[in-house]
Amino acid sequence: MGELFTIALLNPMVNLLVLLNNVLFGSFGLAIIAFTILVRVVTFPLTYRQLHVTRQMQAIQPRVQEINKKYSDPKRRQEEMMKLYREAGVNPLGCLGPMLIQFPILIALYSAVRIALPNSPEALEKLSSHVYDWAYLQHALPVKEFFLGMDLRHPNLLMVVLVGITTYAQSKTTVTVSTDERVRQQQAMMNVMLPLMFAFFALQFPSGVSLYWVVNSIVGIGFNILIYGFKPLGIEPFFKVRAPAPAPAAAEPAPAAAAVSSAPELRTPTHGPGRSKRQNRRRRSQ
Amino acid sequence: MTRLRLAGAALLAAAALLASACVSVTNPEGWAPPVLDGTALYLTTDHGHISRTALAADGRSATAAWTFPDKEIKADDKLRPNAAYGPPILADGRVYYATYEAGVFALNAETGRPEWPEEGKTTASAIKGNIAGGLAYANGILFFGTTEGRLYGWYAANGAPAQGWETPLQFDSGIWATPVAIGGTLYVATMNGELHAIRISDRSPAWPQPLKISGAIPDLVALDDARLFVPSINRHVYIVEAATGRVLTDFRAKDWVWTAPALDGNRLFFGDFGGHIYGLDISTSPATELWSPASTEGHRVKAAPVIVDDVLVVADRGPVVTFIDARSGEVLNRVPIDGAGTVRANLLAANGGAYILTTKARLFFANPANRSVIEVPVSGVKR
Repeated sequence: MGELFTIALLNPMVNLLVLLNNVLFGSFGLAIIAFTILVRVVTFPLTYRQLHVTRQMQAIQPRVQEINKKYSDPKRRQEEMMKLYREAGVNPLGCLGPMLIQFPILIALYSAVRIALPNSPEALEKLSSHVYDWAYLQHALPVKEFFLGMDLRHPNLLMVVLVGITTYAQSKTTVTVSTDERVRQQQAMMNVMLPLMFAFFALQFPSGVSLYWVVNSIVGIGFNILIYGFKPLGIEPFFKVRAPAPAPAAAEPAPAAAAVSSAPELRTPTHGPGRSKRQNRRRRSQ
Repeated sequence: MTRLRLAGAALLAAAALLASACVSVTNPEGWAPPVLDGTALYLTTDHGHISRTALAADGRSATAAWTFPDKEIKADDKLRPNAAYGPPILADGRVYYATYEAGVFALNAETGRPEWPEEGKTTASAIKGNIAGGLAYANGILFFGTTEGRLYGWYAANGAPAQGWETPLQFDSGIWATPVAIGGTLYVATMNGELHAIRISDRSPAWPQPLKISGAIPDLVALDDARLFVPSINRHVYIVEAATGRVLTDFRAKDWVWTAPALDGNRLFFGDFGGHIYGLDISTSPATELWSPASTEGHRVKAAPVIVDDVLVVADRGPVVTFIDARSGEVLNRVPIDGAGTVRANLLAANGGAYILTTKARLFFANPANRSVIEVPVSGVKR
């Protein structure tokens, strides 16, 4: 499996990085930026599918809450939940597939940056086994390690700060699926802890890897805004999610729950994407 | 549930991949070769530590006299050489050696204590970049290059910049190969594929222009007073006339060549990263191949081979020691060295065979007479 990963993913990425380095005036920093954007754009369908399922899950959250309140028997609750997922056409594991496919790609991306930027003579020696027998690539080695005055092989404080900021911004633009207040609080805590954790990692990482992470997060923020929109700035989602089909009313709907299970509410997530103009008009007319 | 199990297994696999990605980072280890002076054998062990050992009369065991830095001496506590890539220079009753991160040291050969810099100090702050090669010694001056393309010339006597070398000479790219001094000229190879000839006296160029090739030059060796061996990661090996910079031979190997050669009269032997061993006759210009390349069965060859009694001894990254008939290229025997790390350091020809130092600081002796390999126990090395 390790060999397959190396041949199918890692080596092509290392060579693409070196190729971009040549094309982009021998600047490895620019190569990392272009490479990260390129890979994220190519894998956008996977990202889109993952985020799309997240939005669908978010849309049915009020009804999930309703079921949770209504049924105390775990077995019955599970059955109702599965029924809801089926009726709404949502696969709760739907976001897992794209995520699992993306995961090795991200690891390869990260490894490729580290391998293509040798931090020792031994690392350059090792790079020989990853670079294709193409003179155009081999002539570029070892790549120049400086970018905007920073040595991409060593940690850089500015990059540490940028890693923290962009990771925070990315988590702020990500939709929280649950409407449960406790889960939301946990999510809010994670929004702070995660950037701190990554910033701490960046203290140990070569700044070339941090540069990759920053660009990756910025692209991620862009994708999040395209798909979810960004309420604080009044940005609407570029891609509209088809709302899950409304389920038939539950056997004995609670009055409060009945309101949130209505079709317009289903199409209107409580957080993140915002409502469309048409939905707003409909709400006003009601 | 099956889907969940599948998802869990996939996550585990992904985590394993992540772990493998994390451990693939390659830290500097160094590949300084062993150096023999009478019965004193100098070994650079892990993290750039150097030891002077006394080799037994039969050459089959060694005992350390000192190690530097010495973990039992408080002044050495903060010294972190990390790695050493070039052989130590033995001169003036001293051992001069360059380290990757702690600069250059001049040690008393008898005691192993620094003559300069002061005890507990390093010269790293006076150097820009890391030293990925070794030292050249000429006219009482030590020359070394750095990964940031600086070439320094320091008096061996006290470590001060030599006259005319108060500021380092700067190049466009890193210097990884040990500079070579022949007569009054210093030859310096850079990682952007340039070979410069510089007059030591006034730092002026000795050639009208540097030799430019298309790949990085990570190593540089003088074959004699007239010719240089210039390997490159563009898969070419050049033999260059030292006086003029003219390329006498441009040999295309099958993979990267990053090693020193073994020389026996007009026969030159070296390996490449694809595990091919070449034999060239350099009496002609260009050189001609003695035989079809021998093979180490794909193991990368970083260490320079040695030739003893017409038997070529090659230690590869396997590590496997291969004995090759230098006249025909026929592989005579292959002996794996298990559990000893790998071999990157050039081999040392002595006592009728070859000493092989591994990355785990273990020493082996390859005997071409019976094509066998034995371990040479080294006691007393402080690691």
